[in-house]
Amino acid sequence: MSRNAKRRILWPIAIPVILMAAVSNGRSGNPAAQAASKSKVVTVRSPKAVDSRNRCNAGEVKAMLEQGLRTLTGTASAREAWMTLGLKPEDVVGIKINCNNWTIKLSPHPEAVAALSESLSSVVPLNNIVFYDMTKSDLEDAGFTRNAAKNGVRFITTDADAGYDDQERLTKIVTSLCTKLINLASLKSVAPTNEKEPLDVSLFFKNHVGSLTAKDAPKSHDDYDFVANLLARPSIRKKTILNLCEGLRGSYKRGVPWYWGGIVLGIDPVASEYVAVEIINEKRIQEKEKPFATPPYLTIAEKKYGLGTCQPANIDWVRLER
Amino acid sequence: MRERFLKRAGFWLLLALMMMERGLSVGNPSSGPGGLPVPSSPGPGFALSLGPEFYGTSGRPLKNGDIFNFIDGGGVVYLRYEFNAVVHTVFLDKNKNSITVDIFDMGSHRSARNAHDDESICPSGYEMISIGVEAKAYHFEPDYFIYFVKGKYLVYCHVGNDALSRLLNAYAKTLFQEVL
Repeated sequence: MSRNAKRRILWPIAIPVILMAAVSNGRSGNPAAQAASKSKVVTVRSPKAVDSRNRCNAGEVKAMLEQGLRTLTGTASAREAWMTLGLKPEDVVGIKINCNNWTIKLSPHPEAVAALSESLSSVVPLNNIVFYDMTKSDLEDAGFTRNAAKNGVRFITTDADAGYDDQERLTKIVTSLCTKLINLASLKSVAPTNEKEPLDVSLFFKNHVGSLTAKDAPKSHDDYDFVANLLARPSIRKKTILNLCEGLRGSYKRGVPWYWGGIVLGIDPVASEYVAVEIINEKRIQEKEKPFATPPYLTIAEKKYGLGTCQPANIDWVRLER
Repeated sequence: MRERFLKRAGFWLLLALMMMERGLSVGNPSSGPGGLPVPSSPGPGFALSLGPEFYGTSGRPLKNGDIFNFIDGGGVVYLRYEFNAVVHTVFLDKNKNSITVDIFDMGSHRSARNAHDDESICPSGYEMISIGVEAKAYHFEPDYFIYFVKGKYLVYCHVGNDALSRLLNAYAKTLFQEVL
């Protein structure tokens, strides 16, 4: 058979194969296929979620969480959503909260914490739900009561209850106690006016500084690679099933709050952080403040540690307004 | 004789100048590590809820750790100045209204003033009030807080319920006049 004859036979087969491959990679013009290949981040916002005196509407926040979970996972119920995210009935799920309240309270509202607990309890027993932070004083300062008992949702701290894993240099709550993790960040800006300082925001990456040993925590203040690597640590990377930011009240510059009235949900921590920064930037632009640049540690997290993407073209940001 | 007198006078003058520069406080009801002043209660109905907690620098942590244990990464802005230590105290009333007082030892009066002028420590959006000294007052509903300087100390007082803003103003005045 001549070479031309072979070509005539092969082309009709090859063209559909090439087209199918393009579609499956999400590189075609098909929006559904493109979205499937992107990192999905869902934001849910409601004017009823919180009022101007920081009072939270428990029912609305619960509905927002459920809607966000269903949208993120494409499921019909919160229970299905959690199962899709990998949660199993025997799991002990640790939720890292940010109780650092200096100077204004930005730690999660108790109503949001209750809504998350209730939702998780559709899969795991209440006592397998463990909210934690580094110190007992921070936990109590944020309005939570420590509970290390064998019933009810647990609220514990590394200093009072767990201690550190010397090998991984992380709290034992992450390395030993919990089998799954949720990164529950606050919508927090820490922007110093000095533009050379790298500390514009304290979101998903900085939240886990509170899982580090006290000796290692200061390294996160000026070392981008250290910050990027935080979520690449085996126990954190392997166990984290959801990145959730409670932004009912956030800060768009250091010490200055506003009521955004929303939550951010994502599986990809880099994309989730990118979206959270964009939310802060929308407010900064509105207030005639210079928007923050994409934090340099996000690029390192993407390129060096393969934790996700901070390229807007690769992020499917689903905005839900209630 | 005259020479000895001049030497002694010089010594006392130098000591007085050092005290002024370092902002040594007077009339403290009590003090913590490094002479950090410990504030008294804001008034009847308020009891100590947390602290006093003492935080130092990374190289010289105090009882409760260093500045980063206290305010996370935000601590870095204090280190631009001569930050030495901070004492953190929280008072609570029966309605769970909390009043927080943080007294930062900034090393010198000049350093405390510079920190007070730094927008990354005392953000914009304040109103100047007088509590015996010009102070920056912030009202971000429902929070109300005040920053002022006395000697080498930068003082921050906060109440989570702005209905108590007048009480906080009066307390800040007391802190300025008597405690430090």
